[in-house]
Amino acid sequence: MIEASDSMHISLHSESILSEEKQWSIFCSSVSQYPIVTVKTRESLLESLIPHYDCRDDRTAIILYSFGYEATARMAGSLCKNSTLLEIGNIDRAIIGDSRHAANLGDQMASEIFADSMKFRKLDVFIIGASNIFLSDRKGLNMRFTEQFWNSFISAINAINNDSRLIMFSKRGNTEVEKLLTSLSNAVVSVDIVNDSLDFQITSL
Amino acid sequence: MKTPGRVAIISCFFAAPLILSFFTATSIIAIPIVYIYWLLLFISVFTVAVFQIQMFKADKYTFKLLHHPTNKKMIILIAAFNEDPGMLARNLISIKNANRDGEVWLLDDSTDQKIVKELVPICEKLGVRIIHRDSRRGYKAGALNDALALIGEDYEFMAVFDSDQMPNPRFFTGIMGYFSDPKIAVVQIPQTYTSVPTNISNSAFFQQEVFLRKIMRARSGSSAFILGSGFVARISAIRSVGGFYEENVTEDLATSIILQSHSWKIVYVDTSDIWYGRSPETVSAYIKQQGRWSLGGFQSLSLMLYSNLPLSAFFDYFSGWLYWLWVGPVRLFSLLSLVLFLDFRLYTILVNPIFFIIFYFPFFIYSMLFYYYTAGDGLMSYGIKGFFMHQGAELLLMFTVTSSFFAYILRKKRPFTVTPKGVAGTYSFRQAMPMILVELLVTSTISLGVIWLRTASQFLLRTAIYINLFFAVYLIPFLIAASVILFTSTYSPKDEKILLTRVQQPPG
Repeated sequence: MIEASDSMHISLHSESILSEEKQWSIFCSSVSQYPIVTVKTRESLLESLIPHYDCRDDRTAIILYSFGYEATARMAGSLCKNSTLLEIGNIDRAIIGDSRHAANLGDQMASEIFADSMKFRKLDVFIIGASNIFLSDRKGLNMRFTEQFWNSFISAINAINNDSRLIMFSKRGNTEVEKLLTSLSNAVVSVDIVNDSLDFQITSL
Repeated sequence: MKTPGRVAIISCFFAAPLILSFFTATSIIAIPIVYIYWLLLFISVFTVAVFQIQMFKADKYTFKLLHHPTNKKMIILIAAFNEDPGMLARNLISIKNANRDGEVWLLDDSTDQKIVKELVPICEKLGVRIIHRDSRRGYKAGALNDALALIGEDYEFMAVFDSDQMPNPRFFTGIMGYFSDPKIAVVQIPQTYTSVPTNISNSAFFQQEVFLRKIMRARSGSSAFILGSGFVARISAIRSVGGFYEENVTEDLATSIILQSHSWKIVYVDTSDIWYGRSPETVSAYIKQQGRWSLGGFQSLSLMLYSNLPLSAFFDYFSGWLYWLWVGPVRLFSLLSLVLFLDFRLYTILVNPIFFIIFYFPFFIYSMLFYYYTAGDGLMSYGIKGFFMHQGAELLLMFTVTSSFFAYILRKKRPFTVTPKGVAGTYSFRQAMPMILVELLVTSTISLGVIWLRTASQFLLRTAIYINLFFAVYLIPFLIAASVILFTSTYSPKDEKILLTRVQQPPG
C-alpha cells in the first residue's frame, strides 16, 4: 500500500502479501524517477537494493565504492548484471591546494566513469559510502573544496539530460558531507525492513 | 595605423640600439655585442612599459561566464595526429557529453595506419564522424580548413579541441552569450591542466599563469588571440578571412591577427574548470612545443606589419614578439658578452659604469618589484617557487628559441609538430649538455671575475666587474632551477593518478 502523507513525502508500508522481490521492485520503480538520490539505509540491505534497482539491458550499472565498502560492493555487483565495479582511490587523503583542483577531480571522476563504460548516457551510478568522499587541505576536511568536487562531478554526470541516475548511499560517514549530498539530491530515501516487510520513505526535495 | 607607420616604428626600434652601439663600441668588431646590450635595454624598457599598461587593464577585467540559453548549433572539431586511440576515445566521450545537439568530427591526419584502423570503430560506436586525410597539407590549419569546407549551413559556430582535451558540460552554455555581439568572432577559454605530473609540467603551468591570468585578460576584446584549441568561433567570421592561416606554424596567432585587422573581436573568458588538457610531461615535449610556438611567434612579424591592426593591438603583439627575441638570441648573446668581459677581459662597450648604475639599476629593481607586486595579488598560483620554476624553464628554452629565430631569419621551413602527450620519457645527456655547458661557463665566469677583481685597482674597472659579476650571480639560482627541472622531469604514464580502479568481478 502506498500512502502519500503530503505532496513531498511518500511512505510505503508493504504488506507481507507481497513477495520480497515485489516489494523491492515497487521501491525501485518509485525511486528511479529521481535522477539524483541519497539513500540512507543499513549496509546489509544494499546487496538486495542495488540488483533490484534497474539492471535493464539498455542501462549500465556502475558501482563505485569508497574505502571500507568493498565486500558490500562486490556482493551487490555480483548480483547485478551489466554492472562495473570501480574502487575510488584515496581522495580523502589527497591534499588539495585550491578549488580549481577540487573541481578538476570531480570532472575527472566523471570522465573516468564515462571512459570505463565507453558511454555517458543511461548510466546508473551507485556510490557506496558517498559521505566518506571528501577533500582536505592541510588543516583537514575542507567543505568548500568538497562542495566544489561534488558539484563538478554531478554536473559532469549530467543525469537529467543523459537519462542517467546517481544513487548515493551514505551512512556512517561524515555528517557534514552527508548534509551536502542531501542538499544536492532530488530525493532522500530512507529504507529499512520492519517486521519482514519493506519500509521506506521518499522525501522529494 | 597604416603599414608604413608600423614599419617606421619597428625600424626605429632596431636602428636606435645600432646607432648607440656605433658611438659606444670599443671597436667595429665589438659593435654586434654592444648592439645586443642596447637592444636588451630597449626590449626591457618597451616590454616592461607594455606589461605595466596591460596590468592596469587586467585589473579592470570583468569577463565572466554568461550562461545564456541558446538554440544555435555548434560543431566540434578535434584535430589529431598519431594520437593514442585510448586517450582519444576517453576524450571523445566527454566531448560528446558536452555537445548534446551538435556533431563531433575527428580530423585525423595520422600516418600510422594501425592507429587509423583502431580509431574507425571507436568513432562509429560513439557517433563521431572521422575525417581522415592522407596528406598533411597545411597541417592543423589545413585540416580545419578542409573540415570548414564540409560544414553545412545549419551550423553557425564551431569549437576546436586538441585530442588530449575535454570540455565539461558547462563549457558551451557559459560562453555562447558573448556571440550576441555580432563583431565577436571567437571566444577563447584558458586551458586547465588535469595534472602536472613532473617538474617541467609544473614549470609550464607557472609560465602560463602570468600569461593567462594577466596578459590575456588585459588583451581580451582588443588583442587577445586564439590559443589553438578550447575556443568557439563564428564560422562566418573565419570564412570571411579565408579560413585559418596555413603559412605560419602557429595558425592560431596568425589567424587572430588577420581577424582583428578585419575588425573582428576575440574575447578571452578567464574562467577555470571549463576544459582540460595535458601539460608537456617531459623536457623534450616542452622544448618541442615551445620551439613551434616561438617560430610561429617570429613568423607573425610580417603579418603584424602588413595587416590593419589598431596601434595598441600592434604594440601588444610586438611586445609578444620581443618576448621570444629576449628568451632566445638576446639572452644567449648577452650571456656571451658577460663571458667575453669577465673570462677574456675584452672591453666591448664604452659606457661609464656609474651611469649604468644610476640609470639601469633603479629600472631593474622597479621592474622586479612591479612583477612581484603583480604576481602576488592572489589571482595567480605563483609565489617564489613559481617564479624560480618559470625562470628556470625559460632558461631551458634559450637554445631552442635561438634556433627558431635563425630558422625564421633564414626562412627555413619547419613542419608543424604536435606536442607529444602521455609519452614516457626522461632527460638525455644530449639535451642536458648545453645547459651543463652554460652552468660551467657561468661558474668559471664568476670565478675569473672574482680573481680579476682582486687584481683590479682602477675604480671604474672594479665597478664594471662588480656589475658584470652581479648579473652572472643573478643567473645562478635560475640555472639551478633549470637543472632541477631538467634532471627530475622523468615521466611514465603509469604514474598518472587515476581516481577509479576497475575491480574484476567473478564470472556469472
